[in-house]
This record gives sequence, structure tokens and C-alpha cells, in this order.
Amino acid sequence: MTVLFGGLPLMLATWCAYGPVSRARLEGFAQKQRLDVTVGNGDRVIAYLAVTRRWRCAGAGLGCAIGFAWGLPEGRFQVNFLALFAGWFVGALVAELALARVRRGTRRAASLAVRTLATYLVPLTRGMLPLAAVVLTAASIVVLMHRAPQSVPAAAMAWIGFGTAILSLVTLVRRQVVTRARPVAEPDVLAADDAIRTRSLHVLTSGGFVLAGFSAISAVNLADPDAAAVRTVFGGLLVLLCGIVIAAGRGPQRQGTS
Amino acid sequence: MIVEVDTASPVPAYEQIRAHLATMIETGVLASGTRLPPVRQLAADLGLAVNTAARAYQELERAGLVTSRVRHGTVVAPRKPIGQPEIRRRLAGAADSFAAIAGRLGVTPDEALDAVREALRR
Repeated sequence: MTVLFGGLPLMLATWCAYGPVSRARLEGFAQKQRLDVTVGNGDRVIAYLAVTRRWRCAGAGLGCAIGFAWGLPEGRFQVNFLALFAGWFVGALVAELALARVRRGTRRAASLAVRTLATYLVPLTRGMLPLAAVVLTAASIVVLMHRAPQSVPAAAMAWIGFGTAILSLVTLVRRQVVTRARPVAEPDVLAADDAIRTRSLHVLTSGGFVLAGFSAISAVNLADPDAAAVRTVFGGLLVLLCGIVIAAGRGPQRQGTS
Repeated sequence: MIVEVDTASPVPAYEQIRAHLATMIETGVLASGTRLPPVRQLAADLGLAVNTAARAYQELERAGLVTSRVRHGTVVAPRKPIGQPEIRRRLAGAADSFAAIAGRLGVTPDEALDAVREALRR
């Protein structure tokens, strides 16, 4: 029974991860990123959607299974949504690393156009990870103020450490997304490349912000359990709302987009 | 604007990048104040080690063609007009190359000079 419940999320994730990328999904991506899908760039976009879906689904399934297994010793049979989301996000990070691999010949070319985060993210979105770092720092101060340093719950500090690790990891992977190899190609292919990077950076920023926000809330809840329910509901909703707004962002208007 | 590298060439990759960028700067294709891509970006795009791209930038900086500052990146330095000594130096270099080729072809000095005069008339 336990194996069945634990394996079910993995089976569901596998089912979701494979198969062709639907036309609706491709059109949705193109519309959101203001991208004209052409014969030249279609394969690139489809490959991106397939790779990210595969890794994110695998991560979500694994996170769900781990969350389920975590509750078993205490007799809880439940889906831990934070574990599911964290797994999905780790899958998203791995997908970006998988996308960085390219095959090359001996003759290589590079554009001299400078790429930075500002090329793909508007200032408000760029500021969300620093904001998350400030929130996490504030949470650790609150934890230390509510408890004497000797009696700070280890779990609270673990949440702060988890949030810090996520922010560091997201910062590194975002840098990798910006600097990873860009082809010297036709304008439609370059527009698709820009759209892909923009989407990836929004997903990473959004996911990193949400996980760091939930880490901060969880840490404060452990140090000060009095208003934990209120904090979880309202703080959690605020963090989720911010995450959704970031993820839905389009990025700055670029040449080659409609 | 693109920079190209052939990894199968006997010329080191950093030297190919340096030569490519130096030519673009000296001919004015890259105007002074133009920001060059960060070392990591250029290295990733060309599939080279970061140190290779960094060395090309260091050589350009040593030659006074670019300036690098923390947080500002690498930008093309203001160019000075090429002076007479530099013109003479480059002319001497080109003449040396021509003389070496003429020697390998076994032509007399007069024949070589005639060829130069003919080329200059064109």
C-alpha cells in the first residue's frame, strides 16, 4: 500500500513528462513571450518546452514521493505541497543545466552584444531575489530575538539555511542562464533564444522567491508559534501571489518580438 | 558584430580573439566607449575556457585598446590617431614580409621593386 502511494506520484510525473509538446502549449509560450514561431525557431522552442517539462515533472514527482515518505513514520498519509513544489523547482534548476549543453565544431563564432539580467528581466523582477534575501535576514533576526541563541530551535535555523541555499543556487543558475552559449544565427532563432532565457529567468526568480519566502515564514513560526496560523495563511498567500506575478512577467520589450 | 575562432588553427584561441577585436577597434568598427561582452559570456559563446577569453582581454588592455573596471566591465578605450613612428613601424613590418616572399620566389631586387611600384600605381 505504502509503495503504491509513494510510487503513484512518480508514475503520474512520468506520464506527464513524456509525449509530444501540445500545440496549445507552444502557442501559449509564443503569446506570452511575444514570439513569432517560425520554421527556423520552432524546433528550438519545442525542445526547450520538452526538456523543462520532463525535468520539472520528474522533480515534482520525486518531491511528492519524498514528502509522502516523510510523513509515514508519524502515520500521516498526505501530500506535502511544499515538498512537491521544492521538487518541481529543483527539476527546473536541473533542466536549465541540461539546456546548457551544446555541440560545437572547430569554427566558432560569438556575438559581441552584451547580455545581462537587465536584458531579460524588468527592474522590479530583478529586485525580487534581493528582497527575498532581506526577508530571510529579517526572519533570522526575529528568530534570534524571540529565543536566546542557545534555545533557538534547530529546525528554525535549518529553514533559514534552506532558504539561503535556495537563493544562492538560484543566483548561480540565473547567471548560468544569462551566459550560456548563444548561437550566431538568423533573427528569428535569436528571438526564440531570448524568449527561452526570459521564461527561464522568470521561473527561477519566481520559484526562488516563493521557497525563500516560505522558509522565512516556517522559521519564524517555529520560533514564535503564537500567530503561526495567521502568518502561514496571509504571509503564504502574499508570497504565492508575488511568485505568480513574477512568473507571469514578460520581460522588457526586445527587437524581433511582436 | 561577431568574433570568430577556429580551434583547429595552430594560432592560439586567445590570440585569434585578440587579433579580431584589435582590428575592429583600430579600424573603428568598435567605437570608443563600446562595452565588450563579459569574459564568461564570450568564453561560453565560443566554448572556450574563461581564462582563454580573459587572456585576450588582458592583451588588449596591455596594448591600451580597452580598459577594464570592476562593475563597469571592459570598454573600448578612446583611440589616439596613429603617429608617424607607428606608421613607419608597420610599413617596415610589411616590407619585411614582402622581402621574405620575394626572396623565396627567387626574384631579383629590381624585379621586386618593380612589382611594388606597379602595385602602388594601381
